[in-house]
Amino acid sequence: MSANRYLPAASYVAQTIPKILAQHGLKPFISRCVLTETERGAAWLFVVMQASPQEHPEDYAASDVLHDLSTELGGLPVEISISDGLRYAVLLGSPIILKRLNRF
Amino acid sequence: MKKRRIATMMILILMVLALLACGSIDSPGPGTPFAYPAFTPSIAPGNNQEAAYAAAQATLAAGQREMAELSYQATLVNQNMDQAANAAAQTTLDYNQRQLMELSFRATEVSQNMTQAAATQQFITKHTQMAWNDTATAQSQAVTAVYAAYILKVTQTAQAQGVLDVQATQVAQSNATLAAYSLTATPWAAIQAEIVRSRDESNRRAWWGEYVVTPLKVILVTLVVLLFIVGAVMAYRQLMPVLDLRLRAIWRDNSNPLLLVSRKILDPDPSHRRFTSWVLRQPKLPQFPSYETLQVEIISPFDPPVALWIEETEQKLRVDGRIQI
Repeated sequence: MSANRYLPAASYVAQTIPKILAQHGLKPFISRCVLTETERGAAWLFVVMQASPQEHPEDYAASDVLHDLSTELGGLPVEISISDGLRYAVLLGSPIILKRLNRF
Repeated sequence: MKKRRIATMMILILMVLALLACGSIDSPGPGTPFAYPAFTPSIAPGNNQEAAYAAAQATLAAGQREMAELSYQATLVNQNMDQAANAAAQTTLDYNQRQLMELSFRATEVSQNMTQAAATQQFITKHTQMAWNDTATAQSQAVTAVYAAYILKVTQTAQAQGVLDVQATQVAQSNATLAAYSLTATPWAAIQAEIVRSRDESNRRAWWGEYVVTPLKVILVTLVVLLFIVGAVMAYRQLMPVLDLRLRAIWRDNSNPLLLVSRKILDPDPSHRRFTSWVLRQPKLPQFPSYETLQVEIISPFDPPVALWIEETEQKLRVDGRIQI
């Protein structure tokens, strides 16, 4: 199946994440947003952040930041990876949670 | 032979007298006695002394010449006597003897004159030396007396100056006392003194007010105004974003949240773009990217970086047990 059906949800998430980060006093320098869907049907949106030497990566990986992101996105799982760059991973769809995204 | 012997003795006497006279001409050394100590020549004062010395010198020279002439004549007479003796001319011999006696007498006189002249010269020389010594002594004594007089005069001048200073101090004290007394002795004088004192104080206060207090007031007022302006500007810069946020929360008609991050208001609502652009135009503020223009890329899950990202994320979710994919 094509990942195009997740494109509206991906756009919404891409616009929401900077706002949540800004509420926590973090600078939302987003370099790119990558949408992909695995063979098992899991759709992932990777929001790649632009590394800034003045910022601390651990601030972006704080639990309250991740919790607020997930809450604001309707309970979607949000993970962060600080290896090989800083990026957020949002699980947009899976066989289990796909029905939650129908409202977007 | 007897006459000849007498003539020879006369000649010898003449020679001795001539030698004595010549020896007296030389200036004698100290302590040398005169040939005739009984002789005491008189000293003429001033130029007469020099004239006497010259006369003695002339006497000596004339005496020497005359003695030489006399010796020569005696020799001639002696020769004549020898010739007369040879000729046995008794008359001539007698004549020659008388002439020889006269010559001897004359030589004696000349010798005495020369001796007297030499004594006169020595006396004059000694007297002149004594006069010089007396003159030098007198001059030294005069200089000493002048110096002593000068010292005495200086001392007297210093004493007089000290006396004058003391008198001047006493006069000044007396004047001050009289002035103070005249200022306060009578009620009218006291009033006048009070008036003068008040006038001086007023003048002093006016001077201070004109040149010190007024400029200080101007400077302080200017400083206060400048501080107030600076404080207002700083307060405006600090508080204006919050005020803008409040006003926007009141005026805005949508429910989108307003963000105040690092003194910047983030509002994606286009209706309030004016305020947002005002905030963003401020210098030295970081520029946020436009999130509306973010493009979502759709990439195959098998691309190397994306595949790694998927594997890493799913592995983390499995470990946490938060979701089963």
